[in-house]
Amino acid sequence: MTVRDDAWAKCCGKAGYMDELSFPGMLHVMVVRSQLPRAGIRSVHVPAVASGYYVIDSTDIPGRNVCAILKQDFPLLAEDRVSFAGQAILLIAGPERDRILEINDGIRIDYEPEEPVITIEDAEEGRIPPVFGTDNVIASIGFERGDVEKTFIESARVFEDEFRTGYQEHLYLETLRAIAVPEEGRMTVYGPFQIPDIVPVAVSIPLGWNTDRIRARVTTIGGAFGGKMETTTQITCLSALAAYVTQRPCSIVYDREEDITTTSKRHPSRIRIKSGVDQNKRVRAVKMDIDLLGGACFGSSAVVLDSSVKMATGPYRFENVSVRGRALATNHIMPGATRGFGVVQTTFAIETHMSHVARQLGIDPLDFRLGHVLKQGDRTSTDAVLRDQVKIPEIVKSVDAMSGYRAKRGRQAGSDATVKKGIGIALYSFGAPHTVKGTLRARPRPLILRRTGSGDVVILTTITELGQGIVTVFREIASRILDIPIERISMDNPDTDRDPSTLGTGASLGVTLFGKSVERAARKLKDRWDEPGEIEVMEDYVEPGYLEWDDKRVVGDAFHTYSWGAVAVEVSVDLLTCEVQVTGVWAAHDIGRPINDRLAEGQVDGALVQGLGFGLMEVLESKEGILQQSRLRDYTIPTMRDIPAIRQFFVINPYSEGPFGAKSVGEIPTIGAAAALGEAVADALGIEVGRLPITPEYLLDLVRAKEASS
Amino acid sequence: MKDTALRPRDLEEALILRRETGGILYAGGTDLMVRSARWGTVNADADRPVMFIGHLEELRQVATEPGFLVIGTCATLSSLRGHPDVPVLLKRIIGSMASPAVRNMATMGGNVCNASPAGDTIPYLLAMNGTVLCASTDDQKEIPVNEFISGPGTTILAPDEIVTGFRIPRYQFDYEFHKKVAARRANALTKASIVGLAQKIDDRLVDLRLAFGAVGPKVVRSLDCEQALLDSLSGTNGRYEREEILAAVLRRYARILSPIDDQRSTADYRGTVAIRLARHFLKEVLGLSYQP
Amino acid sequence: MTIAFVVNGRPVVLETDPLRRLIDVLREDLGLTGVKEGCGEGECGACSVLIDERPALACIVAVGAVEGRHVVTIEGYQERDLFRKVASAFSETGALQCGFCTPGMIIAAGALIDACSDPDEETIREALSGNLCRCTGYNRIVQAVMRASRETKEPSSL
Repeated sequence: MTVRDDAWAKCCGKAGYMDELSFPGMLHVMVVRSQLPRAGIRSVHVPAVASGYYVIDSTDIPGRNVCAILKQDFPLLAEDRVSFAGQAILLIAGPERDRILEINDGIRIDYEPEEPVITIEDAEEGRIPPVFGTDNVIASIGFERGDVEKTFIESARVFEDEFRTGYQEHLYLETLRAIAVPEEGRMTVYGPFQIPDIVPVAVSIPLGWNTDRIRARVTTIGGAFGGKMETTTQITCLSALAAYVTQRPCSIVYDREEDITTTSKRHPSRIRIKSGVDQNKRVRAVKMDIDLLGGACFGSSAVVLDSSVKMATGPYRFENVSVRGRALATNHIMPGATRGFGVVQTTFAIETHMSHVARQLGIDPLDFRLGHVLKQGDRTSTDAVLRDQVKIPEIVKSVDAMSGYRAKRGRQAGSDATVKKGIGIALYSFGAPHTVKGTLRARPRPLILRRTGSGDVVILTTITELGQGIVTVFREIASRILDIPIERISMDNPDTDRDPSTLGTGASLGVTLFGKSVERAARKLKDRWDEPGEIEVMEDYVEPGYLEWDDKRVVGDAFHTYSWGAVAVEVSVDLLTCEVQVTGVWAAHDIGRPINDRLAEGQVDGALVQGLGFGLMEVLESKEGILQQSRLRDYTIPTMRDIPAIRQFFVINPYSEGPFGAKSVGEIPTIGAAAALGEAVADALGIEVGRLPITPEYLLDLVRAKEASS
Repeated sequence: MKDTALRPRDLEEALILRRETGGILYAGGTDLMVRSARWGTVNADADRPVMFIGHLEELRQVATEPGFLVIGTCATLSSLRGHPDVPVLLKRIIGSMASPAVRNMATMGGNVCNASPAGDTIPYLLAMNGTVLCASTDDQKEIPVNEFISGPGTTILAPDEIVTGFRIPRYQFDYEFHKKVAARRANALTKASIVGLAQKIDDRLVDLRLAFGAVGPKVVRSLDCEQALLDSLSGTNGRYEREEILAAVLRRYARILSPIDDQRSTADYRGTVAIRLARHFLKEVLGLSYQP
Repeated sequence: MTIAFVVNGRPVVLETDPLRRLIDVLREDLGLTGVKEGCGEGECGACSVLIDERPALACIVAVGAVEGRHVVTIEGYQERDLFRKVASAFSETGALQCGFCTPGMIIAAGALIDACSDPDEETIREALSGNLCRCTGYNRIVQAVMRASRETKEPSSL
């Protein structure tokens, strides 16, 4: 199997990361940030600064004071008020870090504190003046199929649950950073941009320049997971502003604490589910109310919510479905794109609810869920027909064979009287790519294959390598079609001056959508191979003609296709401390037919552990608007000792529209891990879990409540 | 920005420099550097120089005396974990601390002098009746560890003194119990911890010690509770009686623990779990079968 | 003050603040950018180096504390035969994705293999528990270390 071409350089730590980059005369830039979640700014006192040092505020912005994400509704630097703790107010630029710190220590900001909106309940109640619009509703989307309320009335039993999930930090190992270099009439910005195409647009607004004067160059990315998409715009605009003012190369490097406390996260959520069950113990109607805790502006919450709502009912078919979703503004940092994109939260909710209902009905939770699973020809909650085979039964069979789930469930003894074991399974799906047909998002997203005079092939695109191996996969696709050795095909980090705007990497669409563009381009190139000299083939993405989508009514093929999966998680719970140890993880996925098994398995391993970390230990809480676990010693992600060996399997189910039958793999394995973990804990302790992460503190409460009631 | 630091050749010079400057002691640096770091710069204290002592061989030794083990303040946690004379219980505790690379740098002296109620070696020292050896140019002192530590992050170490090591009675207990509760299984700071030791003669409990970490401003040990438990057992108590005695002593312990809420856990969890762990240990010692 | 130590086998004499973090001296003064900073507080292992042949974290060591000692960064480590074996195993097993943790992971893995010729899974997970990776879920890193340790037992083909 192909070894990725960046492997050796990465082993040596010399793969072209931002931290290897430096420019003569480069200045360090510190961002001075709000200490309060919500306040008016009465005055800002800046001490006299030495020559060569600069303090920059919003009045230094030559263009508009805007940090553009999806909407242009938030200032790049605060003017007369702040709306979250960590909001940028000033920049300090200069050559020496300790002198910059001295200047920082001399700055006095006089605030007029206001009561902040902290919780989802604060945001919806309206007692505190709104942060956003008149009602704090950043976005809302919903749909209904069938008649949910009528079915509830007719139901034999009705069940209701409420679920809560917390923030999750991406925790890419390379913190966010950007360098802006002023050049004659232009600005080049360097950074770990997941979506390079949005950078020139964002930087052009505060500079007041045309976008063609801005060049974005992507450095090798030290992990992203959605955290280097829209979030890079702010740091890049700030470095560009500093470079504009100082006319020197300007570098901003967030340290870990700054990264954790000021950049985007997975949205916390509150999800309420009500379901109606008939005499035959089948769920006939489901109503879901999804509320995502947003930040102080539009951000990208609407996009995340969109996926939450469209995938809310998971891999199940219910005749009557009502899903309502809202993203609510609070005085916090803006959460945003995070691997799993709003579906991790809803899957935890629907999976846990289904199991809960099954237990109440006296049915095995897995059998109950399997009895509601979507099949080929069924309609999804958005009324899309599932054209391809749904291999959930095969997936579950595979996971059961690997894990011994059915044999172990409910009957495992612990190692001694103070330990209980349990096992749980989650079923899930993830739709990708999003259908854009007929929406404003439809625009050309080309990439280029260039055959050089020497017969080598270069792939030109703004799709970015995050570590997932997209470069290797694209090279492999081209190599197979062109029938030339993969070593003769290359793909560099994107440069917006050089590469066509393909978009970037995100939403699990790289392989399926743009890998297919590579395949088509390679076929065309192969047809022209005998032409002399350099040849270029440009290819745009194509959506299958059969897709139908009505954005307004939320009806139709929300996604081109779906990946499917199941994961079983086994745990040991310490009955004295309620600490949970994961002792087994087994997963199977249908991602079509993988292009490169090793890379695909790597995506699954990493995503599962990220999902388990979210479910198990990654506590990130706001106390009056201040994030409490701001450093790596307090925000704990799994170490090698917290995770056992992972076993996994791919159920092959070639997707006719994907390159060599491939579907997406980037996000799907994140989706169900926390849900399976919750089920495993429920199995071990005989309790019902309603919250993530499942901390020992939370479990102790549940265990004591159970002890008290028995 | 400091242009200079002190780097004594031996302990004698270190003590002289310490008396003259009150220099900040740098042993392994793993706490000091984290505490002093800010935006890529390090500023320990503007007025006092830093004095490196981690390299001083006199302070890195592990020695045995009749009935005692003496651990040099600058012995790294890794070296202790691999040392044949270090008791198994202490090795286990060290194995639960930080990560291998940090243990290669961090010292026992640093862990104690940092004086965190969550410091992992402190409950062990306290339960073992270990002492802190302090030296100045003209004096040597031996101080019980919980007198040495005066509060969270503070000690009574005088500005002219250096901790040279720890003196720990070499004594194997019939029952040795340690549990560290943390957010994950490696590289984690303690939410709550317990060290329990017990000794029996002819089935009669003659020595019992419990030390609790991270449930108060200092590591907690109560000689009163320990003595009360010993006194109330006659050696012929029936099972029901022993249950009653156990419940009474746990109620006493619950009253003296004073945990807090912070970014790592809650006061409720810390206090509850500390008592549950103590109950678990004492049930074993008292021959009572487990019930959660 | 003047600080003299050995980096990657070469003597280095620097006039600098003794409290500067070793990572900054290595990266900024000596250009050894293979030493990565992931947290700045000794929690992630990305800045792992060898000090006198034992893994240490360059972000929580003051340069004054390495006076007279031998520091090896990934740049020096990559000259060793063991590096080639570990790096090959990482590459071929798929034990790296974004790669930011990889140099530190390789230094920790190599030190383990040096100390223990046939580590089992538990030993590997314990030895590398201070090196965080967010991409791989650690599965293939463990496999790679096992593979590398097997290969070091066989006579070198080089």
